[in-house]
Amino acid sequence: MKTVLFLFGFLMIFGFGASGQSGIKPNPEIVMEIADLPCEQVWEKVIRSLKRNKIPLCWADKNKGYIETEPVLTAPFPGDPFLKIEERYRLEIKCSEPLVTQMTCHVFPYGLTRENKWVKIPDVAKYEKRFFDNLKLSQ
Amino acid sequence: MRNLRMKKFFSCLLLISLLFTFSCSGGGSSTSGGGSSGSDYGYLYQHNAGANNGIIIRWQTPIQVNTNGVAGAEEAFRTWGIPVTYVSSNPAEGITLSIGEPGAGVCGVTYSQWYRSNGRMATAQIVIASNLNRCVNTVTHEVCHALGYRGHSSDGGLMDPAGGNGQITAEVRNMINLLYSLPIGTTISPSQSLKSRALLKQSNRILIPDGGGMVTWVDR
Repeated sequence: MKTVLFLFGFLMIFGFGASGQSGIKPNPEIVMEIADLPCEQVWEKVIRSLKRNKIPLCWADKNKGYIETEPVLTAPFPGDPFLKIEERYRLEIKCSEPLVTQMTCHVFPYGLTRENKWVKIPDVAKYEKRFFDNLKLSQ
Repeated sequence: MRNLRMKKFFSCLLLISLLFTFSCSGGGSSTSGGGSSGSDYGYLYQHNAGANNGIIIRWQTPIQVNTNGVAGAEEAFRTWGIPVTYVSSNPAEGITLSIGEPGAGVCGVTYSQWYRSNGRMATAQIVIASNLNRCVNTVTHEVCHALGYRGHSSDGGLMDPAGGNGQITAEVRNMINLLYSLPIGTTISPSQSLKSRALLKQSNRILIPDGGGMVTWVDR
């Protein structure tokens, strides 16, 4: 009886853990990979692209591979219920090989509603995509 | 009597929780790619899925490609044998090639983006140096990156950092074929081979190459 109870308790805990993993999906996140360009040059390109896009840096740590920006105003997507969007970015740039760099961007978007309130936007994937597309690193 | 009922009750609960556990544990296994060996899966994990928590990174096919007239681009895609559709403007989701200045002393660069949640490729831009005199096989090498080859090999072949001897090794060829035989969203692990072999035994189907590098399942 004790064994059955123990097994039941164990499986319930394990079961809820597994269910949580498959049921609650993290927000989709874009990963950018740059192959065949030395990591050093990627870092310089990113800094140049941010400047070109008039996105001011808050701080940058080249050794750790982090860049955080000041908030910038951007245009709402068609159909967005917001008058304005304010976004802040935190980039993570990791060199996995001397010629391979992976980059992700955590976007923190806020939307200004018609009631003049700034609200946090939870669905960030399209903002991440737009950020990477606007960086135009390949140019 | 009461004790017996309790036992029955908890036995039922145990059975339900077992079902619950296995129904929630995700999976992502697939019968596709069952003809590949363990080393193929290991290589695919090392040079693709390992960069995305085990979820394979690949395109929805046919892939939209704008070559922008880059010499050797169509031949490179034919070499890899993955279905593509050539378009004349830069696709929102697809691969774009261009001639430009990829970087100091660099023959070519590939910028690719994918969705972490399901591993679907979103865009890839390949920039090839305008002066290709000292660069050989660059387009084929970069196209392989754009198709999903992450990192580089060290076997002296095409996917070495400097392109090696230009030969496509069996490991790389098998990896690309296996990658595009698995459905988008498939999760693999380096030990996938055991599972796939078991499924192959159970299955009454075989893998048939279509001549273009793709493999498909057909009933025996």
